[in-house]
Amino acid sequence: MADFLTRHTKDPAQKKLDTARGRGAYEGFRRALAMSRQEVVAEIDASGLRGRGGAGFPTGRKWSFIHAKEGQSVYLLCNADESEPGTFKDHHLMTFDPHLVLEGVAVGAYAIGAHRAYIYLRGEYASIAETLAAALREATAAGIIGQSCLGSGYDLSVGLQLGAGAYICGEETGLIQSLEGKRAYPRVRPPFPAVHGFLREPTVVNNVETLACAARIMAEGAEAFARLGTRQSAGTKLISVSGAVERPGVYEVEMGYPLMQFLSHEAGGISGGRRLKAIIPGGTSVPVLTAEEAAPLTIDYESMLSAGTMLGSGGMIVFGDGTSMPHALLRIAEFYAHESCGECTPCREGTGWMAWVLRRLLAGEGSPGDLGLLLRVGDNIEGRTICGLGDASVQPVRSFIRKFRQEFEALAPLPVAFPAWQLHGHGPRTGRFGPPVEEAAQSQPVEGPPDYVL
Amino acid sequence: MAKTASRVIDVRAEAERKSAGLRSTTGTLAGLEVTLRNMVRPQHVTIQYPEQRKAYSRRFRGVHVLTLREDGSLKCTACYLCETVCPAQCISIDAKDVDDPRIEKAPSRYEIDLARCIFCGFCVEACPEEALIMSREYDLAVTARDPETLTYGIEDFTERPQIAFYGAGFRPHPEYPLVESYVPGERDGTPER
Amino acid sequence: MPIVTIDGRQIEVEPGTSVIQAADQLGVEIPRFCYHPDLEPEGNCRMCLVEVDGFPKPVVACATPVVDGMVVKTPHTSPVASRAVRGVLEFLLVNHPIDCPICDKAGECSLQDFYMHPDYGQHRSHVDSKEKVHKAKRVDLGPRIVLDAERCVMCSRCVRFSENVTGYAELQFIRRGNHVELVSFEEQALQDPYAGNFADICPVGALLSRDFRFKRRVWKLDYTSSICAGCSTGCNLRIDHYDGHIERLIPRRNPDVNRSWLCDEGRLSYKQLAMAPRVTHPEQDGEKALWVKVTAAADERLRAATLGKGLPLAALASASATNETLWLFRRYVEAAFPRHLLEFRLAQETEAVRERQDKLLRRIDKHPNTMGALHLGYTAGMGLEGLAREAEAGRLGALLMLYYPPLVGEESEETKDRIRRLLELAQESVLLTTHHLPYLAGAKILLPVAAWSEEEGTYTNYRGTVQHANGAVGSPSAARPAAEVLGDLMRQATYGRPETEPGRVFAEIAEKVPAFRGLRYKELASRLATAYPPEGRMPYGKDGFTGH
Repeated sequence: MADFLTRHTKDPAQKKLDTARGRGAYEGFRRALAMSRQEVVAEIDASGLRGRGGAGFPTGRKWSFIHAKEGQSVYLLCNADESEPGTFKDHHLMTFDPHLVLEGVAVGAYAIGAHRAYIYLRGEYASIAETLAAALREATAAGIIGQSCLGSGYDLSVGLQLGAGAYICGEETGLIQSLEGKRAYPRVRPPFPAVHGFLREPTVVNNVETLACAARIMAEGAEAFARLGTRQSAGTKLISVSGAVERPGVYEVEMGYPLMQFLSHEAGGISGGRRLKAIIPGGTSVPVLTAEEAAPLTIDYESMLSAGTMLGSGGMIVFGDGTSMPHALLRIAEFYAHESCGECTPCREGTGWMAWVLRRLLAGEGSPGDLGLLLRVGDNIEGRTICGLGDASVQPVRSFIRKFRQEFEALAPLPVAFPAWQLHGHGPRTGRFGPPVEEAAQSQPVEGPPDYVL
Repeated sequence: MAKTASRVIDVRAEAERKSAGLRSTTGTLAGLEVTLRNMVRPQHVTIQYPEQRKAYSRRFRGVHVLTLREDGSLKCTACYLCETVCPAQCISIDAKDVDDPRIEKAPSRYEIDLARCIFCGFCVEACPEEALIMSREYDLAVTARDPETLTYGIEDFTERPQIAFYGAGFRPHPEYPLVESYVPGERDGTPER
Repeated sequence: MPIVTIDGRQIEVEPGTSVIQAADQLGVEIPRFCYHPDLEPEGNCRMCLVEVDGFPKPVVACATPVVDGMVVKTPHTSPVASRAVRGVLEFLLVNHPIDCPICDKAGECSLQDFYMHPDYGQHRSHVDSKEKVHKAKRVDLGPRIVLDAERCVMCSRCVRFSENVTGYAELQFIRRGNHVELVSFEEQALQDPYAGNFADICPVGALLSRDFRFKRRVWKLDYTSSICAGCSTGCNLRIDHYDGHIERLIPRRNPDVNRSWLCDEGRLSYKQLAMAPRVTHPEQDGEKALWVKVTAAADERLRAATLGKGLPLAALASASATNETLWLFRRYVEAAFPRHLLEFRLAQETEAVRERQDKLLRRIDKHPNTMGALHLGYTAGMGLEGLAREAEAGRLGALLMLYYPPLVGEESEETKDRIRRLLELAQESVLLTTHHLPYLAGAKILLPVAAWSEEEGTYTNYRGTVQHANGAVGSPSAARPAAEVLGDLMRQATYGRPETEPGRVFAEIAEKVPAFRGLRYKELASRLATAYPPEGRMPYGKDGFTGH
């Protein structure tokens, strides 16, 4: 258990500015203000901090992309639209240590030269809005945020915006559109937000945890952060674990911490004394891992990547023995179908289609070939959408079907390669998409057309 | 051309060679036989039309019929496919909105100039709804020459008593039953008088 | 300038050009729904996916700017792009009702065209109609547009047009995922005076013109390129007609004049042609007459009333006439009547020709050829009121008038009164016009001429751009193009043997009038602005852009 970020979150008094300042809050910001912008960016770069929202892009590099032209304003947007299923780490941070988040926003804004920053808060987090607003009032009253922050001559105003509860608002450009008061339709890139972002000005969008890390790095120095974790994944990570574990919740672990140890120690083991069946390590948008695959892994970016999945947002969902994976997948697919913004065609139609096929399968009305159809629809979505939601919706479908194939095949047999009689048009009448059910059940699934190879 | 077969037989020449001697006589006799047979077996080859009428095939392409839904409205959706396909360009349609929200449109005018119609049945084949079929009605003699006389409209294609009298003719999918109400008064069998 | 290779063909384009624009310049078809040359790219339909060397996955051609040395492969040559586009098209058809036989867009629908195309088509569907998402059908969006939300492909062309072009911003999507649905603001009727364009830019049958709906299947139509006669903007349009009846007017794309748009008034201006009964035969003192007799009589009586008495002729032409007609009108008057007052404005709205009515296309001056009349030497003169005073005082011998009723709006009551009064006061009057209108009843000799949609010629718009219009339909009965009538009048008393064929008249104008110098009729007629969607995909290979 590490406590780089969550050192003080157990104390309810941490919400108060006085208590927090007594424990060193805003010292990082003070230190940053004493440095030049480039030095702050270099410091963050040196710490090896990577984005905690899911993609893991180096934060220092992201900030260094900002080159404001004459007359342009720069914006920092804090992405607090934590809507990835299974993720609630930012919730924890914002509820129990709002000043750390504000400090992170201030540091980030200073580093990119923004004089305006917005915290885009998820609509369902209305209670946090009050906490953050109170913290913001306190910090403004104390002269930390506002005109001439901490007497440095640097002006910063921070706004708080509540979303209306759409998954797509957590997507960078979707968030920007929503903040502009438009429908949260992601924008086509290029141009990237670093060039054309909020109000067509250079913009950086950072996750809550990332900014909190930045604040702590400025307070303790890049060295302190880089010492933690592995060589390529520095620091600590907040893991929100849910599902079939004894003690679900938010835990901070050092990068490189063994996954199984985390499950058995921090999370208290699989609930009901069951065995681990599968685990989604970073929110539903990353591929699922079987228990065997998960066993040797550690919690960091490279280890997860080596197993073909991603650390993502750290929203860990644990499945115990006896969970029906098709049912779990249907739930996930329905989430994406419901949350697809409907802007671009593949995601709009594809997510709904996949959910609909799964529903049909689970209702016992599946046809042979439905699994192949699911995979093919997934292939047609992936890489052809404007934003990452399309790709995200495909990952669970593809990994669930590949890794828990028997469970899905029990619902509908996979298509066999074309038998000769089908080519010649003779033989028994078939179902809609394949050979009669009995025959398909007897035949061995063979290497079918390339799309369907599992 | 490479020689592959040992002998090429010209079948027709062979047959002619074989029958050449006999044909001049047997051919004549065969013809005479038909004549003689019909001479001694008297039968009517003509009928007393219009008092008597011939029974025509169920695939006969006679005057068109516009079929109806169960509720008595036209099945036609005014898609103009019949008008488009018509080689004689004798069909003209106007469409209108209808109250039923499930139905996009219906014809407000549906006219076929039967004087120009060639009864090819393309319109019936083009119809995606079996809204247009053909009847076995064939006698279209009129006494006036103005073009209106043989230009039939919706009422003519749905409500004329002749439709029931002649019955349904050509339609592309006879394997499906023709619901009674599709064709007003449709009776099975052929009218005989 | 960057050089880009598309399907093995190279083209040099302006920096900042998108791949799809480069392909359009090359003539390589890239399928698209959301891209429109006069709207900002949005990149949401994903139909224009192309393979670009060096990119890991297909990119959208509409939002990808070309860089030098870029190698692009479209679905025509790239299996990767073809597979991507097929996938997208399949998605689009998942919830589409596929009701082409009863859809008015059938025949000019992009979805239909792409589906039939061997490189994009996906000839299968895995979804039954009962499993489709159902949305609102036959939504009333006011007097111009009917919406069928099920047919919508969510390309957002209409939303962007409404927001960025006219600024009314009346359309938006609601809901999410495959339940996304197009609605108007608070589900009210559209207020937009350019609402008719929604039906043009909609690539599918979702937004349909209420005026054209159910009227005629598009493959039955004949197309004629023309110029809108509704105001002095001179929008390029296409007259779609069948069997001698105009069925609709739709804009042709001309980036310099009207881009791809047309106002609703112009779009419906053809209906004004049926506002009153047409003049079908020449009339002399209220009696029908034959052309051969009536032209002789007209010329004779005009001369008798003017030359005989030493009084001037008042010659009033309409700014709605073509340049060719105006030229012949002037030549006739100048040749036959040494004393004449040559005017063209009916009301005294002298400066209105350039004034805008709104920020997009419409202008105050509702005559298509005011600028042409000015260039051809017509003046505002003393106006109707002044002429009436002259006539009252007996200082006017006769009146020769060429009058076309306006196609947009109506003549003001004041102007009507003035015309009526002038015709009553004139001792002798010859009127060339198209319609029987109450305020024109006083004319002694009435000569029927062809209306705007029936004659060929050129119009000069407010900016001085000379544009060519074709005649689409025939004139009723004995009506003839005004140029021919004027030619006959001239021949009557051998004032000359003028050419009346528009091309030759124009050549004469180009020779003698500075404003027309250097222009060639054939070039004007062939420089037909392109229509959008890209031409060449006309139903049954009909080419509507070569004119008739």
